[in-house]
Amino acid sequence: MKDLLASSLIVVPAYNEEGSLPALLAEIRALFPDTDLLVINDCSEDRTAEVARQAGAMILDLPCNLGVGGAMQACFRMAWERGYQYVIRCDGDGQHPPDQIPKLIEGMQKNAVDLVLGSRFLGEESYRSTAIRSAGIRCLALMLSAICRARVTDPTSGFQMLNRPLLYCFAHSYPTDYPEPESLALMRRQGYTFCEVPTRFRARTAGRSSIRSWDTGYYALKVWLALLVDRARNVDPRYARRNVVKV
Amino acid sequence: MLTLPRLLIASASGFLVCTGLLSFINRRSGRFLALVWIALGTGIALAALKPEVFGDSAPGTYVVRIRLVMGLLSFAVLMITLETVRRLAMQERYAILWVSTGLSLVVLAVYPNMVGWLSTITGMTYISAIMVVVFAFLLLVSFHFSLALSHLREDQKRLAQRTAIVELRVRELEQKLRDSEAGRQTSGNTSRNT
Repeated sequence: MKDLLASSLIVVPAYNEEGSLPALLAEIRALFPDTDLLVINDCSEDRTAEVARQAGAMILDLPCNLGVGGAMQACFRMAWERGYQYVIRCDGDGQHPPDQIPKLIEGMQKNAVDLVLGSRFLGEESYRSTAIRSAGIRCLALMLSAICRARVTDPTSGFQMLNRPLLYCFAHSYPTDYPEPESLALMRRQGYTFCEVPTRFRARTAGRSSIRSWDTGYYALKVWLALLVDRARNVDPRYARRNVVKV
Repeated sequence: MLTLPRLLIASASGFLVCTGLLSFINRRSGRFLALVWIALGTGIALAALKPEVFGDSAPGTYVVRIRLVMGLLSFAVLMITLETVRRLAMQERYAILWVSTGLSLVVLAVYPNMVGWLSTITGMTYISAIMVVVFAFLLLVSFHFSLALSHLREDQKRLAQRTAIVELRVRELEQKLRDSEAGRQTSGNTSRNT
């Protein structure tokens, strides 16, 4: 656990999160003092970058807004180049409590998978959301489970930990907007494995979600289309799991 | 009878003439091109206001008149495209589709029988067949734009990611440099003191 933490990178993608970032970064620092901490500022309009720098985190300051997918891919590339073994993502809005990260690590060690997903819906602890949104998520989960041939309960969760082979794959191709469900389908197709662990989520502490109510329709449409099109795409042998064993 | 559409067309072509005149005076574009614009605008305005002027002199049938308009139109498309490419405002690869649009329009205006097969297959009249061909080309052009745009977005994403990573490295190197300089200074001070 200790060397694992020393060779991993905790990533906090942030867009206009100056309100919630200081507390979150302090919490992560206190829990994992030996792990490198990176904040990706997706071209925020507020003082996100400044706040992160004051907290002593490394920062990737994107010159234009790329969305979660583009921002995460920047981090994957950087982590790949610097030789990190694991990347742990923990969103800047404070929805992913850092004290749940050990659960992800445990899942990664126990199951020997490429990606561990923190799920809101797996445990007995319930998560409150609007009726439409949770119905949409359930629908998506069903479809994704069928595509991945593995049980997915929380396909939109960004609370995840991935290892170096998958890092290599994602550094080269990662979906742009709303990447979480699509990236699961993509990685399964390339032969990577994942598992879910039950985690507790928090209500966001400040700021607001980047997925607003009128975006939900676009979100659903985009994700479904992407999932269907991905099925028709060929497996890229350069990034397939069997070819990325030794990296 | 001066109907509203004719009035609208006349005013639009008047605008065309005005811009042509302005650019002729300001020499913003080539004088020849400005003259072409002015001639085109005056012609359309005349046709809109007094169709009799052309009605008597121009070859009578409907199809021939449409061919004339098509010829003028394609000439305008070709001229504008070539002029833009000449001024390096458009790359050749994006001009290809426009040039072929203009050329095919010219060819169709000169040899109207070439759309004959399309008319016979679909039962369309000459003018609808022409419009279908033009529309197909415009679709191709806009499809090409979407492709180019997606390509640009991808490039822009990669560039943004790379700049952010490089910026992080530069900051770290600066910090390292500052640290080592500070270290050298303090060590220098201590050696001088002792």
